[in-house]
Amino acid sequence: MRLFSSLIAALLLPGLASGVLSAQSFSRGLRVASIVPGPAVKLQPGESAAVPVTVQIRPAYHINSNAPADEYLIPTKLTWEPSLLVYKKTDYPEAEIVSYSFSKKPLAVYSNKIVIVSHFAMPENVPATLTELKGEFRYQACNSRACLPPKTIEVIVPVEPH
Amino acid sequence: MFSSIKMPLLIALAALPGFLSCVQDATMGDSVIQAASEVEERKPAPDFTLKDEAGRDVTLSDYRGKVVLLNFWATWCGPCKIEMPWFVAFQRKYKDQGFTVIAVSLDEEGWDVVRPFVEEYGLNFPVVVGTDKMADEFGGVAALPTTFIIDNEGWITSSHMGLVGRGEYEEEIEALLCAQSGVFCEDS
Repeated sequence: MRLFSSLIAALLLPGLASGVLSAQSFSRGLRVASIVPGPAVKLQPGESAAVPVTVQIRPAYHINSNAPADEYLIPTKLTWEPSLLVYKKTDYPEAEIVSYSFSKKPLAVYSNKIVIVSHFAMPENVPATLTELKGEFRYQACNSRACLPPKTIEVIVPVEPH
Repeated sequence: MFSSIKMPLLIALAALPGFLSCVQDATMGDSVIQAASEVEERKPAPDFTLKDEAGRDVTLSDYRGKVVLLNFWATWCGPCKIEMPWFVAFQRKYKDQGFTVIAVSLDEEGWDVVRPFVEEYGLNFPVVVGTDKMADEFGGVAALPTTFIIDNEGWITSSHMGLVGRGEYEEEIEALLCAQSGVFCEDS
């Protein structure tokens, strides 16, 4: 009986934690987008490197594109911490142009799965100790009736210098 | 035997609401921010004092005696922009009958982004910039817009998360104004 009751408690404890978390502050909010882990990016000295970042967006939600059609909207943005690589640019996917009941004009958004590609220049000598690139992905999500606060999540891409 | 199980059982009972919430989230998906609900149990509206655009204090309890539509919003929230013209109309229509809208922006950038919005939309009611802490005191504002209707005694009579129909708000406001002062009653 003790084992059984302890088991029940153990099973429900995450629910308790969830209940606590549901009362957390507004800015933490629900996570709608997540980074899909990918294989390590192989780096060739002296060449440029394209680093793809795949983002999965929760069904029924959208996030603003990198260039939203409304000045008040918060654009999706991928930024990188300084590293031994030289950052060049980031290519964002083409946005979907969607009409929503809450907007007078169509909005440029992303939904489902998107791939953002950042480009870096590689110096001739990249030490083997460089194993990952770190960045941040910032987005703001809505569904057809409500919006969630802007959120920034960590991006870590494994790399393999050759 | 009871003593051996009571502690885990107590923990389990305490965890049950959170567990059910967790299950609901997993099974209902985006309904997390689609719910518009009546308040099941009457709760007093937590008091707050925040600054308006001119730096004046706006204190919720100063509006005791009035029906208050308290709206949490942000400039980046599309559905909030649909509601704002309604609220401007409500303020114009009901202001002299013991009603006010108070809009609480949760924009991180504060007045730098809120001020132009207030001017562009011609907001004719008190607008303040809120904080996470203040929103949490209202039970947590998970998404925007979130709106609380507060009666003239300071009790929250309903809360709505997400875009709600204009008519629904009007019905609620008029029902409270009817109960409060006999105006906007169906047969009046």
